[in-house]
Amino acid sequence: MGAAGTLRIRVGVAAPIAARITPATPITEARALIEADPVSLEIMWSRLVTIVEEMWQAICRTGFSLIVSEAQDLACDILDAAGESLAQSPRAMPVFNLTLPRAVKAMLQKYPAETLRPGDVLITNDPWLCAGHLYDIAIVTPVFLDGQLVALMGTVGHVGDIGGIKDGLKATEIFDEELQIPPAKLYRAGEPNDTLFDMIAENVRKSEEVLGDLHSFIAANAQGGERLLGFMRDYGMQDLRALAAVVQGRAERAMRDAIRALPDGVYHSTVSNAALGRRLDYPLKLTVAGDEIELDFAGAPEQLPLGGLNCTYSYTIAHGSYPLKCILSQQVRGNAGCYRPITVKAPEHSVLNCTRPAALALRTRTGWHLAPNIFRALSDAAPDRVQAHTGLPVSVKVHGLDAKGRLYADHFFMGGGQGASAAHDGKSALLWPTSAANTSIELFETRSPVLVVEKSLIADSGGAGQHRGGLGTRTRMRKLHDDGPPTQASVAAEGVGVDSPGLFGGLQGGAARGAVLDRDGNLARDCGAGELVTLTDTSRMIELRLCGGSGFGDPASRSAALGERDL
Amino acid sequence: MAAFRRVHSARFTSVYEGVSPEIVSFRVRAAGPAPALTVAQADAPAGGVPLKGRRMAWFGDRFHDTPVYDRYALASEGMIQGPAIIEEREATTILGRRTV
Repeated sequence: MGAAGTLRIRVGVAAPIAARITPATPITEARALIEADPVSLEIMWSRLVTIVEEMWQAICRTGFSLIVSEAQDLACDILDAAGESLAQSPRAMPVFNLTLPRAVKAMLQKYPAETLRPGDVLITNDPWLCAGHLYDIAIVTPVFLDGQLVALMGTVGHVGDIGGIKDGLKATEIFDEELQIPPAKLYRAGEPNDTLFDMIAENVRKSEEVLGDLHSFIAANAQGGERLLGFMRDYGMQDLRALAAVVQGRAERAMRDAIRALPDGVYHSTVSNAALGRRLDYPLKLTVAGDEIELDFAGAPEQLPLGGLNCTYSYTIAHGSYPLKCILSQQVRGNAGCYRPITVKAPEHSVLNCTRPAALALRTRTGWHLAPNIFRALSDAAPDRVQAHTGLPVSVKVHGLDAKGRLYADHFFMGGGQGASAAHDGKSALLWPTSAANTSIELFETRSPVLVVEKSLIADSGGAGQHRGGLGTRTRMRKLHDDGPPTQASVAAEGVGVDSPGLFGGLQGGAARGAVLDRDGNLARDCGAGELVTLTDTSRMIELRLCGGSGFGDPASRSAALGERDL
Repeated sequence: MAAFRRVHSARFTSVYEGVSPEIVSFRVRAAGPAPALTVAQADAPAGGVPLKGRRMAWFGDRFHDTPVYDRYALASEGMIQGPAIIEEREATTILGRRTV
C-alpha cells in the first residue's frame, strides 16, 4: 500500500488457457461441458453481447452521417458459421438483426465458407435478402481461427443516401430508388474492391459521408472479430458451434415457455393505414398453438404500384417477430433461438411480400403498422403485456445546395407518443417500433443550413385511458438564410387519416399533420399523406405533428392522482 | 495527423483514408507553478489490526485458506502476497495467487 492510501497491485500473469473445446470435440460433449458451468456460461454470454455492443459504440463514435452516428439507425451482430444470430447489439435496431441472417446465408451460398479468406468483407443492400430498402447496407466480415471460419461479424446500417428519386412517394419501381448492391466482395483478402467503391461513390449524394459510414461498419466488424478471437482464446474455445447451440437453445426454450403460457387459440385483428390518401386494411390471423405462434397476413393489399410503400417478405417477418420478442421474452438477450417458434406468412405479391421490381424505400410506413396489429390481436390473450398504438416516428430529409454550392442531404428523426399499457402511461417522443434515437437539433443544424424553429410536446395529445398514451411532438423548421437556392424537405406525417383506437376502451391520441406554414405559423398548405416541399426563402416553414399514443382502459377509471399529474 | 491516425487506428482498427480532417475541439494544456498538494489520506489509520481473519476462498482449482485484511488498518509500504482479500467500505479487493 502506498503513502496516500492507494492500493498498488502487481497483477500476476495467468497461464494461458488450454484448449477445452476444439473443432474435433463432439458437439454433445462440448455442449455438456458448457452447460455444466452455468456461471461461466452467463459470463461468456454477457461477453458476447459486450463485443457486439462495443462494435455498435465504435460506429456511433466513427460513423459520418447523422442518421448513423446520432439517430443510431444501425445494428451489429455476431453470427455463427451457419449464419444464425449468436448475439445482437442490444440497443438498436432489432429489425436489422432479424433480417441480417437471410443476407448472410445468401452471401455464404454465393461465396461458400471454404472459399472465404481472412480480410474478405462482404456487402449487400438487396432489400429481399436484407432490411427491405436500399439505404440499409449489410457489411459482413468472416472471422477465422486456424484457417477455419468460426463466425461472421455483421453490421446493417442506414447510410445517409443511396441516390435515386428525392420524392420517394413518386417512385414506381426499385430502379427509381437507385443503387442496388447484390451480395459482393467489398474487400478480397484485405484488398479493397476499388470498382465497387467507385460505383457507390459515383451514385450517391455526399459520397464521402456514405463511404465514411461504410468504413465505420467495416472497422467495427474488424474490431468485433479481434475481440471474438480474444474471447475464444480466454475460454479455450476453438469452435463456437456448441456455445451457439447452447445460447440459441436457451433463448428458444424461454420463448417457447412464454408462448406455452398463452392460451391456445386463433386471434383476429385488423389495422388500417392510408397509402397516398387511400385506406388500406391489414387483416391478421394470429394462431397460438402449444409453444408456437403463427402470424398469417392473408388478405393484405396487393403490392402498390406507387410510393415505395411495399415491404419485402424478409422485412415483414422481422416486423412481425420482433414485437412478440418485446412482450414475451424481453429479459432474454436476442439471438436466432428467440425467433424459431414464430412463423410469419404473407401472400406473395402483396404489400407485405412484394416482388421485383416493386418500389420500397418508404416501407416503414407500412411495416410499422404490424406491431400494433399484433398487440391488438393478442390483447385478450395477454392483456397485461400488450401496448396500444404508438404515434409513429417520422424522418424529414432535407436536400439542397448551400450558398457555396455544396450539396447537403440530412435526415432528422423524431418520435411520437408511445401507446399505453396495463402497467404504464406511454412515454413521449419515442421512436417505436424502430429503436432509433431522436436526431440532435444542434448537430442537424451544423450539417444543413436549416433552422429548427420549434420542437415541442403537444399538450393533451396522449390518448385518454386508465393509462394514457404518451404525447406527440411538433417540429417546425425553415431555411436558415435567404440565400437563393431552394431547400427541399420531405413532409410526410405518418398516421394522417388513420384510425388507431386504444385498447380496452382507451382513446386515440392526437392526430398527425404535415404542413407548410407562414412565418407567423398560419397554415399555408396541408401536405396530407406526404409531399416533397420546396422552400425558397425564410418566409415559409414546414411543420410535422406526430400522433400521440393511444390510451389503455376506460378513461373514467383513471386514478385521481394520475389525472392530477396530467394537469 | 500521424498521431491522430495512430490513436484512431489503435481504438477503431483503421482510418478511413482520403477524407479531409475536421478539428472539432482543441484542448489546451498550460503549465504554471504547482501548489504544494498532498494526497495523504485525511483520516490515516489510527493503528488497529490489519488481519481481520481468515476464510476459505476458491482460487482457480481449490479452496485456499485466505487472509482477510482491513484496508483502513494497512500500513504504508506494506506488502501482501496473494491469495488475499482486502475489505473496505466501498469495495473488496481480491488478490489472486500470483498477485502481490
